[in-house]
Amino acid sequence: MKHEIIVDVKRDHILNLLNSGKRIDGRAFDEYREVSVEVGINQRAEGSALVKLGRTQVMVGVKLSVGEPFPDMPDSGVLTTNAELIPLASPSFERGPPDEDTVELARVVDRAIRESRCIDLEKLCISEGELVWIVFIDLHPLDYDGNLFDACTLGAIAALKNAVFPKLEDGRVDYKTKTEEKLPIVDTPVEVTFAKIGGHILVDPCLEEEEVLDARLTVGYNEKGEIVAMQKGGSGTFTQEEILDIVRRGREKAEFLRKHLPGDADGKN
Amino acid sequence: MERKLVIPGEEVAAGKVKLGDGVYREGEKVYASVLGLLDTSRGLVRVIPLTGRYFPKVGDFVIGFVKGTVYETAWEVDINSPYLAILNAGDYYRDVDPFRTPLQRVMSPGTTVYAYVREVAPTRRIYITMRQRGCRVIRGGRLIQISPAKVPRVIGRKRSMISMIVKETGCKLLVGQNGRVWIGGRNAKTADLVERAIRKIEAEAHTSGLTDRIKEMIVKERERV
Amino acid sequence: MKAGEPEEFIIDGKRLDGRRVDELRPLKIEAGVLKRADGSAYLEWGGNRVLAACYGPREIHPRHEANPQRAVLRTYYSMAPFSVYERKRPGPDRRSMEISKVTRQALESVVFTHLYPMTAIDVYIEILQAQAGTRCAGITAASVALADAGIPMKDLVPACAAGKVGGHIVLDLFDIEDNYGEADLPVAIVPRTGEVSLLQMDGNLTQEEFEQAFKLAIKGCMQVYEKQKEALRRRYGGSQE
Repeated sequence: MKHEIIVDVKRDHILNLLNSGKRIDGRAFDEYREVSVEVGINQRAEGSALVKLGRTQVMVGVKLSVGEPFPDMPDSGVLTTNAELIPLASPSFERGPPDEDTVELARVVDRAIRESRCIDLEKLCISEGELVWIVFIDLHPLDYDGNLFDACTLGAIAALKNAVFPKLEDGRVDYKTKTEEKLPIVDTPVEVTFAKIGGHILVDPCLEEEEVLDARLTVGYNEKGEIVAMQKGGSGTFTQEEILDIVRRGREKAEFLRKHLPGDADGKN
Repeated sequence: MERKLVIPGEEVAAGKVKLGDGVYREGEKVYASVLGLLDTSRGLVRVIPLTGRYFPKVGDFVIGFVKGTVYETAWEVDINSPYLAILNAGDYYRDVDPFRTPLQRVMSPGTTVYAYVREVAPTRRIYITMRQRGCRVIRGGRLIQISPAKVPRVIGRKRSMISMIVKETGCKLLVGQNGRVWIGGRNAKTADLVERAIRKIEAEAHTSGLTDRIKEMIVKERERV
Repeated sequence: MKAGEPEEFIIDGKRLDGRRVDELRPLKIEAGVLKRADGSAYLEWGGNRVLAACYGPREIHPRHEANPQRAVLRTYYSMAPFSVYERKRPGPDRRSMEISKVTRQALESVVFTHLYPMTAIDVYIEILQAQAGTRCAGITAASVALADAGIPMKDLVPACAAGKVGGHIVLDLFDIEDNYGEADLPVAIVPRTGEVSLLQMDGNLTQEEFEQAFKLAIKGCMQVYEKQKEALRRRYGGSQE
């Protein structure tokens, strides 16, 4: 990702506003932008979702294929999370192989999905040691206006919950025939990102805030409110108290995000 | 006056007419080349663009962001156009000797300037200067970005819109032809009001009677401020 | 006969998806859908879902690609991994590179690149869901995105394919027809002059069949053109004061 120069006037304005208790887009410090989650928006994917976080838009597709399991986990399916920061989505995204921002995004989303054990990977075993389902989660931002972590994690879990198995015949996948059987999803992890700007802590940074933040902290929570993934970013630091506070406050935000996931009844394709 | 929306390729005139911007001739006929509103009011045929990037013209005032220095004797400035602008040390508003004081110390990357386009070279190198009335380094206040296509309405005929807003609110206002607008003012609420007014002008740029409506809005909301 | 091939492609005058031979799939275009891009368009064409974004004219990187006479138009066609039945590996492949090239050449003749020397005009086409005919869908969306970005151009460029399936010449093939048909002929035109700016063909056609398919594709392009104009008018409002 190309990093734009930070314009003093813009940074000072954001800081001045924060000092008087306001954010550049009028939100409260603990307020998300408008969240919307649509699922089943892609007929080629086994599961799909379009997440909007303000004007950030992310499409997530889940594809299933079959292959050999890892030798050390012969009865377990395989999960692969991939992100593409396509230059269509932002003037700062560049063509070419995945850069460190892309890889970090994919790994941080993967962490919450994997560590929450939200996919029952053992149920993805077709023939032990020989054939298992492979789950591909493709994170595809379409319009980048800040906070891809939360949007992508929400999209990933929405797309997973939306996913159904394609028909399997003689060890081969018939992608054109979908079954009624849903992917075994047993938890709904979500991630909540806070930014620190001039000593102020705020949730869901928009692009203008992201450009000037000192540090950010992403926390992933499972349904019980347990912490399943974390990632601190930015060159600035947090105090220990700030970290503890964020982790406590994030839980409620996670509940808020989770409410936007379509219920099982609407989660169908 | 009713102005028609035209799309690239649409026929807008025929025969002997003078061509302005946003149109092209092929044979006897004249066609739109950009998406915009057809205007024939000034004795020529032109299309006023409704969208698009800013292209610097000599005589424009712009708001730029210093990106860095080149050859230690000039700054490179982002003016929201396809081309970076050059601000030579000699075009800074006061005398600086780049061989004594590194230019980064005079203006570091991220500094905002209000400057004047003094030359557009055939090579498309853009030269800006701060040795023009009103040019300066901008500090404080807030910046907003609007569509460059809408800037003429924010300025208004003979600066009528700007003058009205400044008079009614007491805010300072700098409008760059490149779509960047700076609002300076003592209190945030008044600046908020000016920002809302400018957003309203941008959204309703194609309508008539705009200055009066904006004034009405400001006077009404000013009382609440 | 290949596995999965239908026995007939046209039954009682109707195609397998219910269309007449000269009928387009339902086409919906929306202009200006992205915040960050200078211009954009989203298109649903049958089962195709395509997003196009235009950035520019802007500074060109790497700088040695700059042309002192004109802007450099760069087009990139790419398919999302989940846009096809079998997951596509991310990144460019030979097919997408070729489509990127012919797309650029389909659009280059209408863009007034000489106005903006030393710059790049970048157009990104992302296929989100594919059901055959994605290059035509991409070109169609791209030219709406260019206009939405305010790029000066001679005309919009609509594209549409015709082809041959089960011995019949048909307009706008969908995936089953594309997979098992005898020929596919994608065409893009400059509607005002009727000039052809993209033409590809694969399969087998007699001289007569080619002529018939070619004319049909051009008719299809003209229908697509109307949808492009409608999309831009909707975005910018009909006639205004």
